[in-house]
Amino acid sequence: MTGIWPGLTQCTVNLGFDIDAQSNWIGRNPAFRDRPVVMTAADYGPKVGVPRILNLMDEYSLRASFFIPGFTAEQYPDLVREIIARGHEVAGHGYMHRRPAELTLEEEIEDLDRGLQALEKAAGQKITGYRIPGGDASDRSMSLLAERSIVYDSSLMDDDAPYMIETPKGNVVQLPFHWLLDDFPYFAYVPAADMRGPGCSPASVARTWIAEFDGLYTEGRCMILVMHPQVTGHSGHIAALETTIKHMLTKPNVAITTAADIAEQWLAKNR
Amino acid sequence: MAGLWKDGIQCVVNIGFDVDGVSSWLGRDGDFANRPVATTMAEYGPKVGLPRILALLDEYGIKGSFFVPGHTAENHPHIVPDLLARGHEVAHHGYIHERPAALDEEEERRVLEKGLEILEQQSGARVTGYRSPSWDISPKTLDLLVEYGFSYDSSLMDDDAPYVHDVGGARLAELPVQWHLDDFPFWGYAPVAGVRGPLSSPEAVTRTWTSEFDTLYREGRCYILTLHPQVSGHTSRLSCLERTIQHILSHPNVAFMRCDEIAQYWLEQGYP
Repeated sequence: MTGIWPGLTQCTVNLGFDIDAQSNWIGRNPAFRDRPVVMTAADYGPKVGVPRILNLMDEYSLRASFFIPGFTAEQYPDLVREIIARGHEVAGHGYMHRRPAELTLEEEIEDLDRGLQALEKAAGQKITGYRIPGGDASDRSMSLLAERSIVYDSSLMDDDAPYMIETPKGNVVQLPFHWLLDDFPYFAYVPAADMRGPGCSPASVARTWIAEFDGLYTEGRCMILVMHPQVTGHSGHIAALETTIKHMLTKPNVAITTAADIAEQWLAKNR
Repeated sequence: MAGLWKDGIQCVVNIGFDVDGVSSWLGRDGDFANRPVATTMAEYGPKVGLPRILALLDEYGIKGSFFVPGHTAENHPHIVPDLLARGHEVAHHGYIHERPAALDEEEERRVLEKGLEILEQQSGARVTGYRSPSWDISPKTLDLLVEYGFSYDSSLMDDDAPYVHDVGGARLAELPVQWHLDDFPFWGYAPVAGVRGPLSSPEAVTRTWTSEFDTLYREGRCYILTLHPQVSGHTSRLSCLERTIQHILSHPNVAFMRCDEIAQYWLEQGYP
């Protein structure tokens, strides 16, 4: 199979973390603001999960991408700066994690712009990467992103290598993922939201992710892992990530890097 | 890695049990009283699961915390005295397993008072610990716990080490919990209530619980396991608890504590 990456790179991998914190729950139902257990389970992400993840990244000298809703950036501006200071990418993820497919055009624009503004304020830099919240883009989302000079989005599911989306407002690189490379379906358990996952063990999730990596590595494609600090940040769940990282590092010519870097590498070879 | 604890302790572990019996089902829907399969499945807990669990804890010399709804205590009046005689802690878990978030303030007060009264009558002492039924407190719950003299709550999820709430100047310890350190999400299966868990194998759950312990041990934090006699009291599942205990005991400097001891440690030993 013809390689899609520059140089010797056989496969690229992005470790991405959506720091949804409370926004995902409030965006789903504002009444969750009055459910302290739901709110604190969410706060575990920025409070305990992100520091643990940052230490793991340091241990393996890896750079990751953190997709941060504006609401989280407003609540934890120091954390945003800490993530940047430690060499990682910060990218957009809505304001209150609302799903564009369920919004009117005006609502979608409001959540998008407010989210980018809040994150840019905390980060002190222009945001050029994005992941549509909830894995639920509208048919207008990509042209709205192009209009805001966003270089890539990572929320669609029809491939496991980057591709270009052309819109009347410009082009956006797509870095597709799939639910099977997301931690939420395996571990999320939030009965208040009627969400009762299968409660997989970290060992079984690592086996799934490693099997997926092996296939993508052989074909020379791109693995976009989508994790949430309120899920993978837990002391046991993080073993799924660490086991997967250790496996990937046994293979030559794997580039584990930021989503922005992957978009750039792909553009360099395929523009 | 240096952890949070003093006195040479690397990690603190609490094994806790919510002795819900039928209360969690009747509290959810009173009609379950007419569903003998649901009620007998629940009563397996106090009837068969609990004695089996107590024997296991005695075998390993572990003192645990037992959160007993008033309804369970009334129906099984030998349980509270037996737990105390064996050195375990008895703490509050509602009357008929009411979720505080679903109650108004007056109802919440009545439930707290009723549970306190029953447990005090049976134990001869005031209980100081609270774990909310279904882990779903209201915005008023912490204020009420301070007002009724509790020393800790064990319902919130934003940490894996204890911390202290400042409730209008009063201090209330929080012993945080996690759904994946609870047996119910893995094994709760009650089709009449629309609860259909994944029925994980004991091996898979043991891997989850020991993996969780390994990181908390390395970081020197606090491991709080929440089990239900009607769930973990079954033989295959109790083996999962036993393997987890054996794994924990293979590490030096682990302190098994009751929740009231952990709370006291934090509130009185100069912790944050």
